[in-house]
Amino acid sequence: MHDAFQLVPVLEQLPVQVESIVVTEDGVSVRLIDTKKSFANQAIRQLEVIREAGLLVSLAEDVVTLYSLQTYTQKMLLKSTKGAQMMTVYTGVDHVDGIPVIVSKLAVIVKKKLIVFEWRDAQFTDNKEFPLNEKIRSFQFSTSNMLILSTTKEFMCLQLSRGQWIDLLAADAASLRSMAKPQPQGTQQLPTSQSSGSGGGGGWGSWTMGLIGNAATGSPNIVKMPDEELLLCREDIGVFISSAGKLSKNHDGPIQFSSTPTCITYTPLYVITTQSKNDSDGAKRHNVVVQNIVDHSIVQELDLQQETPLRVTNGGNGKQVWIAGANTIWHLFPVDIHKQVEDVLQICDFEQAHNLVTKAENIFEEDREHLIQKIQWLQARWLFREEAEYEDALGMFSKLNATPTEPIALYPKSISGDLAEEYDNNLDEGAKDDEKDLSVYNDKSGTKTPTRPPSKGTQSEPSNSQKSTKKRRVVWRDGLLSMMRYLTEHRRRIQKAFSNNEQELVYLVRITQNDNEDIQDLPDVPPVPKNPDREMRENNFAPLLQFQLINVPINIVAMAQLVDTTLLKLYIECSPSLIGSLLRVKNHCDIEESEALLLKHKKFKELVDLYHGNELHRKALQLLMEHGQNKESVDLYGTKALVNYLQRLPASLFDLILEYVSWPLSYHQKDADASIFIDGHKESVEMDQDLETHPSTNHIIYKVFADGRPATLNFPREKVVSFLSGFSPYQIVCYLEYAIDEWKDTSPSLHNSMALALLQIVKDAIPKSPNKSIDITDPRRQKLIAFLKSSKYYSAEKILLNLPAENLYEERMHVLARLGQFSKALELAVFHLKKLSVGEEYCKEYVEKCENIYMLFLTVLTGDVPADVPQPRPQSSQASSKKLQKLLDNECKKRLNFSLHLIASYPSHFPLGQTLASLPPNTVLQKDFISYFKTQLRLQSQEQRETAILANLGTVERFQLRCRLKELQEICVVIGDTSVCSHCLKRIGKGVAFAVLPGKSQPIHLSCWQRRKNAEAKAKENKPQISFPNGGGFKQSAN
Amino acid sequence: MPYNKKSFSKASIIVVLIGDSGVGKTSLMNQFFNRKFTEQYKATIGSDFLSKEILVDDYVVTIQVWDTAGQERFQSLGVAFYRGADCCVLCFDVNDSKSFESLDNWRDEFLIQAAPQDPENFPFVVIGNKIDVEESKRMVSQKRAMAWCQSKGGIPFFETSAKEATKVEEAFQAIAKIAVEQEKEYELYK
Ligand SMILES: Nc1nc2c(ncn2[C@@H]2O[C@H](COP(=O)(O)OP(=O)(O)O)[C@@H](O)[C@H]2O)c(=O)[nH]1
Ligand SMILES: [Mg+2]
Repeated sequence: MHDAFQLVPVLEQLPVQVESIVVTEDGVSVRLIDTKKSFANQAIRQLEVIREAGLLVSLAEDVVTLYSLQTYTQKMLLKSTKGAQMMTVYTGVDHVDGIPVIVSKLAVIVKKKLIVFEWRDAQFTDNKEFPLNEKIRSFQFSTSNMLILSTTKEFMCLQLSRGQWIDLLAADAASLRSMAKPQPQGTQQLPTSQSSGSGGGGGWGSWTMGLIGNAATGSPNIVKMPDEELLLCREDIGVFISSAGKLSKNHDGPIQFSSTPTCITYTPLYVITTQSKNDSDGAKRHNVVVQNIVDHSIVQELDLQQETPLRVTNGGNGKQVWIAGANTIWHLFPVDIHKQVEDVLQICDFEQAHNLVTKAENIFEEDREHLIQKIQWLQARWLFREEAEYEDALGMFSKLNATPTEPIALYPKSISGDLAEEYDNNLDEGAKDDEKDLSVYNDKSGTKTPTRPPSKGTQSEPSNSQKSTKKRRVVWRDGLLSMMRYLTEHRRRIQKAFSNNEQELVYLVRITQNDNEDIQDLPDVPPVPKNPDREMRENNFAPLLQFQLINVPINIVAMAQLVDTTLLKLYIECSPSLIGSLLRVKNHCDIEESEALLLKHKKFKELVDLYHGNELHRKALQLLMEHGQNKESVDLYGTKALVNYLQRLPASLFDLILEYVSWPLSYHQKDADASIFIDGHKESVEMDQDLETHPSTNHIIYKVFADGRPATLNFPREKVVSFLSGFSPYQIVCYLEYAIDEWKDTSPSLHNSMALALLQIVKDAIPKSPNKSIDITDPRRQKLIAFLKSSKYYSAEKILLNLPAENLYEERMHVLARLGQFSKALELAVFHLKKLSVGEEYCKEYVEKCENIYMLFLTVLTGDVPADVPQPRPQSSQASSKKLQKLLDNECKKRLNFSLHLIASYPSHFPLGQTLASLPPNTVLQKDFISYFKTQLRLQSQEQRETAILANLGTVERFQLRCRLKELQEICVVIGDTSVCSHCLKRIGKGVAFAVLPGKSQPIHLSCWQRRKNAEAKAKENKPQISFPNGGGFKQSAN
Repeated sequence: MPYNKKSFSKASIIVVLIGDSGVGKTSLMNQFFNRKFTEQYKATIGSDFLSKEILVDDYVVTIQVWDTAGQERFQSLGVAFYRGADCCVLCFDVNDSKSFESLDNWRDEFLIQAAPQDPENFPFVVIGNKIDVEESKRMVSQKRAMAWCQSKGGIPFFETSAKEATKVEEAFQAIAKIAVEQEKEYELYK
């Protein structure tokens, strides 16, 4: 209940008795006809006004008289109404031939008929009569064309244009009571009583006179209601019907009065009745009862003391309500709207508050809107605080375009931070502990007391401890999730604003009275809301509406920061796996605040993302180093995370990458390396190691320096190599394999580095004990040799310098090949390596590069032992010297035999003369030498034949050329004095360039020829694309 | 022929296609739903969806696939929409490494918008499209894409060509299966 009206006596102690009263639409005061003594001799039974026709209509002395509304002088006595009992008027807009006209009607019940008078645009036009066969108790127009009437038994309606009667419903209280609220889609017909039409009930004789303005308790009553509706009443019950005669959908069923009203009227929001009851001392008391027109709850009761209200009426469609007693006239004066709204807000009736404001009179539209916003604002807060309807509350804030600070402030400190409102004294103390912090809110959300006035009593009433904490936690989790969605949605709005380059976003912001001074300098940062709930609580009657909502432009960056940081806090609270996502996408989380939070909650992985997003790379790397070495660290133990981070850095941070990659690289010094000599090692290195905490060195090199992302392609490769040389040659090889094989780098320095690194690996593998070497089949040597053979870019000289003198002759041989020093290489094979077959293979390999390599080999085999070959030291003793000689002879023989084997195997590579000359004179030629000679002879004759063919071809060609020259020389033009140009027909003078075109004998000026050529080219261009083969115009044949 | 079809309890499973514009999302949809392909490029505006019934392990499932406009990132569809998704398909063009490098961002943005109950296990599928283009133009190797999928907890990966209809059917079939599994509830239907 609240105070909707004040009862103000306007006229008191009237010397005459009020018999009837009428209020005009714009009148603030009542015109009291009785004071015009001459107005009527008898009591006026009823007065009506037809303003549109300027008429005051009076029913007195059983006849209706029309008076001028201005002068109150009589204009006309309607004689036909002699015997009138009741009347009613109606004004509305009607369409006559599509043109709107104002139609006013007066209906009068005269004995056994109904007369309807009609005015159009203030001109009297017509009257119609309708016979009645039952006594009418009450009647009203519902539209200009329809009357709703009631007998004691029945409500019915009369279609005026057709004179058709339709029964509506039985007019007994029980029937009315049974009327439910119609379904929205239903066009429910009103049930009618069975005995309609038959003239039962009271006869004509019981027609009571003098029941003016008083709904006789015993009979039905029809009363006008707002929005063209009518209320059909009987006793203490009333049913609303629409102007079309259907049950109205706008009300919660029939209206129930506490007792049978004596008079009924309305305002847009209320049904107002006067009722009387007997006091405890037996005296009759009269009340005005104000009821909500929708839900019919009693809003207010006003005491009229003992004066009997005779008539209640309203003017201007419920704008003013007047009550006339016998000697007093009261005005039911609406209480100030703000006060009324405040009252209903105190009882949390937001719907009613909203209705009050939308229907309020005398209020600027602007104020109305503002007031509605404030109501919704308070409702949103209330839904959140008292109802735990978080989603709805946040939805309302969104709709209001409220600054996000407002809903955020409703959350506990762990989420709202400095914005947090003081919600509860107990809470503040417990706020240090997060769990407690939240659980207190959980308690709040668990108590659902929709009608509990938040302003009364102590607020922090103990929560219903019966309710399981678990359930409350679930509800509170809803609150967090709702906020998450709210902020996510909001984030998109901010993103959009950013992409439109907006600087500010306008929000509705709450300013309390005290803040007013600050409004001038508009806040650049989101305003910190004060807490109205608290004010409300501290003072029983702290005005809830004492704040302003204004639109304030807020810096978008500041807002983005608040939104993102708050979202981060929510994630920490209820969806930790989203933290990383938020920090990795473009975000505005406050760095320091987020850093502190993440540290506090030990979200180190996410902290790394925060640092990365803000380019605090050194900080991130430092953190990764620390945690990588800490076995306790859940996510970050190991080198993997650090390596992954390095992978995310751009090439410009190369030095930083080098600085931090050292630790992961040096983690496994020993075992990591040999894998590069296994076939297909790359795939296994690249793929499989992502699950390990400490990836292998090679994997790290791949990921950081060589995975093919743009940064790796832009690294200075030599610097990478020189950096890796600080670790081991294996790592250089690992890296350079990508540079050389995948990226096809041809820079000599990289190739040198590759060769040297491979060489280093091989050298390191040579056993330390003297005369021991490393087997040629060792994969390390194989890899080295393969590289030395395949790469064209390393510097052979440089490698030679680095090759050991007493070892790795095969390698040296291949390097020598690069320098073209094949003889030297073959000497190595023969005299140092003492493996003649190696020489043979070598020849096979390089014969394309050096055609006479076999001859070179033969020369080496048959020649003297070079000086630099260490000779077995001649020993003093005869025997040993003999032995030595034998040995040398043996070797010599071996070489000779091998020479013969070569000649026999590769006969085509040994030209006869040279070969025979190189063999020692006493060489014994074996039988298989015959095939060698055959081959050689065949080769020579083949050569001879080829030469002969070439010579013949040459002769032919010479002959052909001669013929051609002769032909050309035969074309000859003599320019004499009469020679003219074939084009311009002018003389070809001396010193003028001319041409003779092929196949023509006439000369032409060179300039003419060129001009002609240009002209022809142009003509070709300009030719129309479409040609008509018949050349026959556009005429179309008739058929 | 009467055979026991079973239908899935949820009215339809919702799949969202996201990825940079131009990677072929609309074309993949067209290929899957209409078996058509056009070279013409028409930027998708806002978002659009197509649906049809398919059979997943004997269950009749209505698959509803939402195509989105890449250029606006997440502004074209409401948050509520992303929240309803059963599977999110991240698309890139194997001949455009930028579109591949955006996948991280697409995935994170999706998770933020959708805020699924269990973000770590939300079903994603990665599609590398346009494999019909000549090998020399290829910028993202299968190996690299698979390594990325692996690092995100083993996201299924498909290489497709909307142009030549290579693996499109298979990819969507697998997507449907994954989405259905996400829903977990099966219902027998007679
Ligand atoms: N070669 C080739 N082109 C494709 C393929 N898929 C799409 N395209 C082309 O790529 C362009 C963009 O395709 P569209 O589907 O509109 O991409 P969206 O922006 O992701 O929806 C269009 O010109 C398509 O024709 C494919 O598999 N192969
Ligand atoms: Mg598209």
